Amino acid sequence: MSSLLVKIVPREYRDSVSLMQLSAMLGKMPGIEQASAVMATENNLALLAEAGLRVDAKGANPSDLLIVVQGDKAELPAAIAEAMKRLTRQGEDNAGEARAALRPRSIQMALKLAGESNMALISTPGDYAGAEAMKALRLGLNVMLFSNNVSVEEELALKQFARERELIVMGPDCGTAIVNGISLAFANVVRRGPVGAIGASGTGLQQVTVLVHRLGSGITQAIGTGGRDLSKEIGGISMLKGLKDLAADAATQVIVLISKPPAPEVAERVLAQAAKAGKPVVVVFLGADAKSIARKGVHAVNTLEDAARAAVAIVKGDKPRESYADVPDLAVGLPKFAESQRYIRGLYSGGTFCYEATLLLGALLPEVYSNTATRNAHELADVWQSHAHTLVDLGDDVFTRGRPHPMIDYRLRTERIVKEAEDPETAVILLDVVLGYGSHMDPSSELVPAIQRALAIAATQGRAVSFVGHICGTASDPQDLGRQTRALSEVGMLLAESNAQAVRLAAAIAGKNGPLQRANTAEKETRLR
Amino acid sequence: MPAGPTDTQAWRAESIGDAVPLRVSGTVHSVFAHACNIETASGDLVTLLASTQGNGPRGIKLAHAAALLYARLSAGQEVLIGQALLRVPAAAVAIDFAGARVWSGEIAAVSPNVCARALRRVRSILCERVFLQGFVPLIAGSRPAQSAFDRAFIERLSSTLPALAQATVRHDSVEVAGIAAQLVGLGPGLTPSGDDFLTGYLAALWSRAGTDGGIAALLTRIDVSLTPLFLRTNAISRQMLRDAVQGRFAEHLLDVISALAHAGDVVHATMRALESGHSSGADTLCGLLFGYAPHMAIPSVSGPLMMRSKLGVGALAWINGESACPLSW
Repeated sequence: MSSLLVKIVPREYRDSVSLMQLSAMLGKMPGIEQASAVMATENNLALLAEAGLRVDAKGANPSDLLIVVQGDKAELPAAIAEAMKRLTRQGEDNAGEARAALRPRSIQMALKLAGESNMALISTPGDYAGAEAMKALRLGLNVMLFSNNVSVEEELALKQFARERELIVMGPDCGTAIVNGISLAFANVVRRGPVGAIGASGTGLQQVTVLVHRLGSGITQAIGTGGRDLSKEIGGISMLKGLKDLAADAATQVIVLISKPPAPEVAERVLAQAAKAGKPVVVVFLGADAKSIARKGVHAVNTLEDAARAAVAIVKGDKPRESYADVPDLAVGLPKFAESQRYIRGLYSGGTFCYEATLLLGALLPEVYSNTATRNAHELADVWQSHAHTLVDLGDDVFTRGRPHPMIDYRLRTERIVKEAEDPETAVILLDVVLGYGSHMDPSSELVPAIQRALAIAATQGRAVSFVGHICGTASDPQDLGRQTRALSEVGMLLAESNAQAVRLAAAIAGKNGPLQRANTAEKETRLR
Repeated sequence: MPAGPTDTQAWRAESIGDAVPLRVSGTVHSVFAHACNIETASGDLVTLLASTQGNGPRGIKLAHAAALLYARLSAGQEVLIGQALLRVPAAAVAIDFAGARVWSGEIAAVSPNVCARALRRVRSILCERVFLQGFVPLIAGSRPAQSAFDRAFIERLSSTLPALAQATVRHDSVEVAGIAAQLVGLGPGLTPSGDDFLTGYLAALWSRAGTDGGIAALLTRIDVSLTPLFLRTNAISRQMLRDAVQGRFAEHLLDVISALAHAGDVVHATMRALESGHSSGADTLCGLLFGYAPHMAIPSVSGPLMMRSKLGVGALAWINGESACPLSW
């Protein structure tokens, strides 16, 4: 039985952010179903009553703070006590915050405080980002431009300006980089080592750097270029600059280039420079023909995992293979699917993971639909509704408008997991879990309850659903890879080593259901190898 | 122990709002990282603003960074204003505003017909930003209702906002006040979202009043009906709303209106206005858009988003611009 506890804190003025953080913190405490920290106004009290929280707030006035917690009766006093503790601490913190208010407010001011800096990371609304980047370039700084919504014309102008001064612009929309061992924005904690990576894709860079780390090697630099760099308009200016720098870097023994297929003339230019780098270059242009790329004098592969494995093999003095596609291990307790359960539903937070999955799955199975356009998949008519095998990039603009990216905010994905489990056609739910700086600090805390709920819903309808995925992270990431792995495994999620392996595993599981698909899978897997 | 006169540290004010009383006593009401409110004996609030903040009608804005000033102040301390000096003896603080510029916020006349594109730009900025509370994410459906409180909040908005738009069209001050009563003090935040929204809404009406006699008449009548309602919210909100009903607004909001009126840098002005609180700036701008054209008040969202937010209310389809706007311009 749910109970309610109310605390009125007289004349308590806290800024809005503090009140929001307090509500969120209380809502996550054990045994708490709902929590609110609002001003005790007449309308807020009425609203609480309308929400079913009948609060006895006699004597409260609009200048008082009202803390309401609902849930397990035994847990309520602890929640209120924690709230009061936080309020006291915030009061002390405010004084500290005031002292910290003397932070630099411009790039110039920051440069005065840290004169040895040679790079600026810029994250402002797109309307300002270009101007700020130009200021940084004029001050002789390299730029990592995290912001998006910068026009192509502005991007070109910035990159040309940078090129003339031997500087690099990483971005716009550059979400991942590792510079001199420091992970920037959405990046994992990896050891330093002899592999240098340049990528037009954030999660592509994350996958390659993580796998290089897991394979025992390390990264010199991971340079993001922004998704448009290899377009005809931009001409690969940043990738060419990165390639030149890594070629000249004595610590870098192997270079990995990561992108979707570039514009043909840009690909020619990049590959020509790569062939002259004076050291091995591994190229993964997802979706492009690896064989024709390999003819340009580089080592070309089809997947992000293969790129990492090839790079590490080269470092170790081994001959890299064309493909490392592992046979999925199906010696696991697979659920017995109902007749209707035929399809994979991939819910991705990483755009490049979704893209790679669509390419791989489209080559293995028929009827693959996605909001990520590839030659192997049909376009999904309604992104909110799965159809046949569906792979959805939840980081697409249509999903992220007005909300954080799904690598930070799992709500959209957890809702969709439950929805897919309700669909009698769903056999496998395929997920990526991205760790590292910038990402959600405890993804399993979001996914585990959703998976449990999904399994329970399917069970009530006499079905079982398989969960398959991979964790893009290292043991040094702040989220504790071991704990995330254990938590997800304990609820039955099958975790593969990489995105590519997870896709093949999902295909193999779904392919076991139905003779037609089984035949297709066998045929296409053979062809893939 | 109170500090002696020799310990008093003085700061200089850059500007002072034209509604700040020049001779009054009071007490420190509330202290934040970048502002401190002082409650005068007459019950009004005067705000001591950091140099990074925008001016306000009752603001005294410091000339330089004064991070340590706010650390010295605490609620209940006596404040004396007189002879171009604000003193807090217990904190050994003095603010000298003898040379300060007097700031008078002028509200520009806006013709929404002329600045429709700029209004859409403001709307799209609201759309792009992530707000975890307040009006914008709930109505836009970008943050689905997470609790019964959220759902009740949405229900309240879905019943009040369309009615407020209709009452505005009819210049019906009684009806406007009746609806405002359901919004005052409503929602999360130090200044509850409903108060911020009403402030923005009133700012839009004031900026329209110069070219629209009906709106001007509405504003004249509305004062009497609205002011008693403000007792239903906290002192900080109350002061903001009292000023708003008199046509006095913070500099950042006036800058947005000025940019709209004079084809200025509306993006820059909007971004500055959004810096207020977590969602206060957004809720205020939402009210501003609503006051100009309710069909622009909330970012346009796709059908599924609407469904996902479980609003399912025709009125909100209208708010989202999916049906005809009841205001004619």
